[in-house]
Amino acid sequence: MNVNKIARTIVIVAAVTGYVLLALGQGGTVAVVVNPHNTQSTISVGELRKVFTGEKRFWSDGGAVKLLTRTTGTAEHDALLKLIGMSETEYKQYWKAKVY
Amino acid sequence: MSCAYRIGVAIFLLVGVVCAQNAPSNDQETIRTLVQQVKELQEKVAALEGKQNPPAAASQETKTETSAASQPEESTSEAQAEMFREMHEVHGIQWRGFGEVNYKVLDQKQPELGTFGFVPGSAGNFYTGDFDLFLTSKITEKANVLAEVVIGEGDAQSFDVDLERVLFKYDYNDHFRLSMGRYHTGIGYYNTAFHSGKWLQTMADRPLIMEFANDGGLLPTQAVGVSVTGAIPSGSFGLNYMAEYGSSDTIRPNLDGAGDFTDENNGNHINVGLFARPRSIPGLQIGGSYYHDRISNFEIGPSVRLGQTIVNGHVIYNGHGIEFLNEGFLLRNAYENGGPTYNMPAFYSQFSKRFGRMRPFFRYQYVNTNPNSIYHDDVLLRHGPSFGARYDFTDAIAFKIQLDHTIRKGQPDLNGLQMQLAFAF
Repeated sequence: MNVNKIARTIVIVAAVTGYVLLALGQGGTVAVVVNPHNTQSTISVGELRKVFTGEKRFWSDGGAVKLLTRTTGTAEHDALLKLIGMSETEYKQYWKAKVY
Repeated sequence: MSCAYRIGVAIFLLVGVVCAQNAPSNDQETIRTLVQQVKELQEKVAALEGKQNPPAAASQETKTETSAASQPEESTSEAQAEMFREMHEVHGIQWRGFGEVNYKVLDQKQPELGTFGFVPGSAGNFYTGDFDLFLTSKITEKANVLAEVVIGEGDAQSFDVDLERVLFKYDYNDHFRLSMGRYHTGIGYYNTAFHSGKWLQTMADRPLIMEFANDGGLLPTQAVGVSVTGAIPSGSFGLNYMAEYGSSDTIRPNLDGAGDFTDENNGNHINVGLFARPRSIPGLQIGGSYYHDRISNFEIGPSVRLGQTIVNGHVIYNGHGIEFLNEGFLLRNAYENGGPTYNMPAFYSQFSKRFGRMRPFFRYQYVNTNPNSIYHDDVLLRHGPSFGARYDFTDAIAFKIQLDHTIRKGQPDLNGLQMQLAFAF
């Protein structure tokens, strides 16, 4: 899994309004999936990291970011953990602290 | 389970499967294929939404967005998602609890403050510490309520309830987030990163300088007022600001175990902070804060006022299994109208590294207060190391063992052993 490819291989396709998720393509390429009406057509690795750590909670048009992630053990979830540099336990712990 | 949520999960799962199994060899074909398939999915979604009962749909949509905006949804099975919702959401209120069971012993030869139900004496004893309930509820897309209710153990297994935090929060955007209510002051890093649940923090206790004031800490850790935070457009520097204006009423028990309390009778405070999270080093945070209020010396007279200033600088790294927390403080009490000024420094440095489920940790802390300061004359010079390890049995149950050695000015050194079972539910 090459996480650095995330920024170069952003595939924008339709999903549920406002949601962002990671999907896996052939050869381990990771795609970021958002709504086609989203005015933001590119996203950097740094911004993506902020999205998945809850630091960036709004799109540039003011809409709220809503996250979906695949379950533990999937390639997409592994890519996410590599992106943010945390283990599964640390990520859960991080969100418990972040939300409250 | 809400239908809208089910639809969202279904789309996600299908997109993931499609991407994994049928992705064409180049990006253009991949995009074309995905767009086509998602269009088909959108049609199915539209058809399903058309079949929904409108009032029920509206209710379910609200419920879905509440959880999705709060934290990432895991697209596991429907049964797991349903279980998660039942466990942590009641009538739109998401809640989470934290608990702890402790055993502690000190080799003290002179009285020392006992907190959280711990009673210093010739033998160690068990105590339950704090039982914490964290609640959050979404009111609108941008407004929510957060509360932290702590049932704390006191002397002789008595318990009291403390509304540690209650906040009305309004997030206009990433650059302007407003909170009103009772909050943990943004002095430095630790006080806002770690709240009451011991499970959330690596070590068994907080650094003394960052201990909550009602448990013997030196700083005004809680206040009622207004807080504004947000990101500053700064590119790769990742700058963020924080500004607070409120009323702190700090009453702290003295550390010498004599049973006395110190009341600072604080006036309104202003607290501002700035920190950077550079994009080039994920996990790094460098920042500082400046706090100022006026406190009264009622021992001399209610009109005798001091300016209290607390300056903080911190360097934090959290990433790749490493936790490295470093914070320095200067607490300055200056009598108005030409009286004496006391400068009191403090710092702590904490390092831990995860090895699988084990996380050994080390901390060194230092506090040096002026003996002439009526607010902190029980603290004086205290410094020393703490070390131990945390073992996470599961993602929600942790065991910690910690040894402390504290050098105290004018008193014998203090050695302590703490064992803690901390859990989240």
